[in-house]
Amino acid sequence: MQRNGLALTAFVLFLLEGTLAKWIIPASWQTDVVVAPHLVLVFILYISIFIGRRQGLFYGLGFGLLHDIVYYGPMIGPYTLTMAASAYLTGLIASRSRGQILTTLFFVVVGNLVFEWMIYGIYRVYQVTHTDVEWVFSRLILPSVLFNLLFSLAVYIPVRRLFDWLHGIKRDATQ
Amino acid sequence: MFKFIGNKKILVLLLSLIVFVALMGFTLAKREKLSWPEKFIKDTVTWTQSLFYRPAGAVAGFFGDIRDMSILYEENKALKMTLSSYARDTMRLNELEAQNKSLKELLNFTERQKNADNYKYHVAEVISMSPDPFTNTVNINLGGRDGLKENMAVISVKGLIGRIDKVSEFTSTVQLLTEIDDTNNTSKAIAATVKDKENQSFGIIQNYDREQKKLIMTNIETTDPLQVGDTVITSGMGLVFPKGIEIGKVVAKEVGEFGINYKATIEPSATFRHLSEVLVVEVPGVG
Repeated sequence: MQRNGLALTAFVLFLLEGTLAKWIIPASWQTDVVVAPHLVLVFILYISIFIGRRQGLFYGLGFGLLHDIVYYGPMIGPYTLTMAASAYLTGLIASRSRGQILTTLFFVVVGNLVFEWMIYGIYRVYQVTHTDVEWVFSRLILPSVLFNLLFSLAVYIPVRRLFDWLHGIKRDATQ
Repeated sequence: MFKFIGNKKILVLLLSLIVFVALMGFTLAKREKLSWPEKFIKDTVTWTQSLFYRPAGAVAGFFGDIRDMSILYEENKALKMTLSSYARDTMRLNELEAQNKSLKELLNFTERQKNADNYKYHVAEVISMSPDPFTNTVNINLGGRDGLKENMAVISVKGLIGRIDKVSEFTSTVQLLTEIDDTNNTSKAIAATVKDKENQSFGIIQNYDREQKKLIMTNIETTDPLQVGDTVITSGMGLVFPKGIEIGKVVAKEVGEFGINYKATIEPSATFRHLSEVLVVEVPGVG
């Protein structure tokens, strides 16, 4: 049940980020600055911080691969690699924190930054894009990270509740 | 440092890095067809997404409509004007078409030549757009079963928006014009010309400038009559895009990189955000 609940929530977020999120974000935020909604990534970072970095790694691999296949653009692999890596790294740094809201949000921002820079780096190396670093940082990475920070703040309490609830179910089942 | 990570983990890390680099390199190359697991996952997931995209668009459109209420009256007036001129143009078009047909018969055109401009349009609905800012792939709800093939042009009501990149059974992926790039081997350049100067003007559009949000047209001859304000259309010479599809308007013309020819900056006619319906152009006998 715990695994199903987490996977189901992540899958619903995956469906929303390609459909609803594109309509909710104003068109000017997708042209003047580019805001990329990474709802699944935020959720996986939470998994990595609160449940464990190993779970985060596997969810990152799975949903990254799903993203790569569904939105197959130039190649398969960048999202699988970066989502797993950023989730694991975030879990690694966050492993000693006590789970207060501010530190958690800070780790989510770090995870997002790692993710965005890795994606940009891979695309740059494989010559998929050659947009200027400065432009990418100011127009694309910074707005996206801010937007995802807002989203992570909005879902912080529901996510904690969900994790506690799923944990409770698991404990009941073992007893 | 090594105690912190552990030898086994480093081995796993390095091995997985090798696997990923190989995977990305392999999938980056031109692939003829998608494998069946990819098709299966893509079709099922995008089908589920289609349940979300339409209602989301409808809700967003409703709020947009309220915002646009004030300009509705003006718009209505302008639309009535264009409708009357449309009726006039249709009459003229019918007449010219009949004339064109009789002239073609006089000149003994073959059946293939006659059908060359007789495009078939497939109306497709957008299912989802990638959240990835670098590769804005768009999934549409028509696939190989509906007769779609790779490299068909995709247009919206306003103009060219891209081409079909990958085809699955029930869905396909569109590569938008904003992704074309001359160093990326998955993108294709567009042979373009100027409307009403089709025989004198020619250029190649193979780059999109992300920072200016404009298309760059290069290889324009020095004797070319292209001017700022002209409408750029596809020429059909590249054999990827059919001819006569509107791309955009010229906003600047300057000397190209080596000073031999000119390059022009083009403002795309179509918008690439908040897409809901697109048309896929099928050219009979090609592809």
